[in-house]
Amino acid sequence: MEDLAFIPSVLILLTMSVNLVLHRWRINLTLLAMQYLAVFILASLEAPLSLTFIKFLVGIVVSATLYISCSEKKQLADEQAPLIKYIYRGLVSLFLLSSSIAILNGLQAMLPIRIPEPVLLGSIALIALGLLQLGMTNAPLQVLIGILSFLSGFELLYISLERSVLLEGLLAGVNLALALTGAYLLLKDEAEEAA
Amino acid sequence: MSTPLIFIFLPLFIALILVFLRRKPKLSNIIGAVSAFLFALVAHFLPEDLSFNLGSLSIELTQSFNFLGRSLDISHANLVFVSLAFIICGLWMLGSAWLDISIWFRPISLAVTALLIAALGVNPFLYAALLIELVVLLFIPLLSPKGEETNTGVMRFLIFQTMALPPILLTGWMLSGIETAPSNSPLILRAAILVFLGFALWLAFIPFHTWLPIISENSHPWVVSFILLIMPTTIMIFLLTFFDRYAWLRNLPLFYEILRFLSTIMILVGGLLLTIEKNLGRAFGYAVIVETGFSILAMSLNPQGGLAWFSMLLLPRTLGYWLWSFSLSLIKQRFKELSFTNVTGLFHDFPFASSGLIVGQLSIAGLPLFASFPVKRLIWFNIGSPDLVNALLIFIGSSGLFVFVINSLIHFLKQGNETTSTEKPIEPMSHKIIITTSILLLVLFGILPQIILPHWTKLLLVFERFPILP
Repeated sequence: MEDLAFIPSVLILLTMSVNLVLHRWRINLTLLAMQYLAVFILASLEAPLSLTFIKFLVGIVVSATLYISCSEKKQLADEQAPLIKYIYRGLVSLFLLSSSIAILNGLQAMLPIRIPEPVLLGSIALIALGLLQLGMTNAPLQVLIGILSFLSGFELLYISLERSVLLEGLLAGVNLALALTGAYLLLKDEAEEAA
Repeated sequence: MSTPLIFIFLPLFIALILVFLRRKPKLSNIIGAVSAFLFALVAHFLPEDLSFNLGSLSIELTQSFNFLGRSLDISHANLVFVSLAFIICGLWMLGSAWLDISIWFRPISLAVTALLIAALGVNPFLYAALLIELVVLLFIPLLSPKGEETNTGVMRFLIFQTMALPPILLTGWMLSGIETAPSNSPLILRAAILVFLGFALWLAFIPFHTWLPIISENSHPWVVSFILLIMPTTIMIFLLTFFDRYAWLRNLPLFYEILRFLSTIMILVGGLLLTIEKNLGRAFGYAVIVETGFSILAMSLNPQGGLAWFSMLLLPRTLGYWLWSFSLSLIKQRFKELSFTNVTGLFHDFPFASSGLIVGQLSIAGLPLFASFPVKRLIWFNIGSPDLVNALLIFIGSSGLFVFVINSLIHFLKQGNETTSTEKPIEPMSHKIIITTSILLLVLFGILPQIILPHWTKLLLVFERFPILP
């Protein structure tokens, strides 16, 4: 079962890496939704389905909100960068992914409870690559995807510790508020009304 | 009826009403300011047993409100902070009546005040991190209003504040092991690192401060000053809650030395950056770093009674920021860009706004006769006793704002562009009255600190274990 559980972990690694390298909003947001699906599957190994399904639903709503906002934005051009930039991003994400895999056992030893390896790998990859994305760009959409991935990684780790309805509700609220903030930042110049 | 219902849910409801009234700025301003000051008054005068008579009706308030298996608690001891938060909200709401500001400022500022009060009242208290994150997200539309380009400072603000959330919540994870762990357990060190990292991100400790000068240069000074006052104040009280609740944290070896080191770095670097700063807006951001440093420094002087100085510094800081940012907002409305070259000769055209700015800066810097001086004097005089080199570094850092004031004065008093008498702008009488009253208030606080400031030490009643009163 644990071997099969590596499938969503690998999905997370792939989606995050592509999101980091390629800045095409349609691809990025589709991959973000897939990432939430993978997080849902991994979280289900640790927590009841009723709690983890909230995460999946919120993830889909967040991705859809950002997708609709981007499609409403008139001048959202996909990034046209020189090839070397893509190679650089790819190499950095590869380096971080291999580091994440390398520190897995050491990190497990530091934690007070045992967390299944696929869950830990998915979580570390999301946090590390999310942080990398935050350090590499200032574009609102990419920053939002970075923050959401970083938070997903943390939530995946945290669900092993505490399973409170209020906490899940507040985390869902934070994710939805982040999506709305993203939508605002993307669309604020489109609206006619003056602030 | 309960105190959370009055001080959290009722303000949120009024904020919702203000959302619908946002296109009527005068009306929403009156409702917002009056309700904020009313909440502050109620919090101030509520008796210890939380019961009072309203005509023939006897009302007894409970201090808890249960919600999804958790609770929100506002006890009588919490009410000092509640009144301070609503005073800050009311003052900023009042000032916004004379400023050209986002129509969302009034509802958001009231909602944010209520959420921050909820953050300090929620049980388990670690959940406060999530409420603070919601507050951060509410601030984004104010920092980056419609029609203005989103600056990098706003994105960094969002990133750094969000990054603080996991370390604080993960502390809970660690805590379950720490309660039974011996004092030399590695778990304690890990949890302490997480706590300090979370608060360093929230409070813009160096090197996580880069967003501060950018947003204070590019966003509206009135909004920035409100955010940079109410957020750090609440977060520092949240930090005190950590110190109060966790003996393992305050019993760390070199605990006070670590706090003193961190605060000295903030004061020194913030002060040095101020000496070379040439933009009035960015300078405010650096001054906030120095002020946060002073608050942490006061915490590090706890064995000498530093927490009392921490609490007494809050109101003078509020008034100083208020006057500084009010004057700065008036100048920004006129000049748009706040670099020295753009505001040369300001004093000749805007004597009141420029005087207000200088006095606000001097008060924050701790010049004698102004509000912050009595408390800053206590901190300066006591910092020498634990470490004299540390005192010297803090002296250098503290001088930074004075150097910036002198720099500002030189540029304000220079002869600017020649203007004929018909072109000469006139400051409205209302601005003159507000600035003069604020200056007088700052002087009153400075010469009569014993009347006004000791009340605010009651803020510490919430903390039963951490404060050491000499």
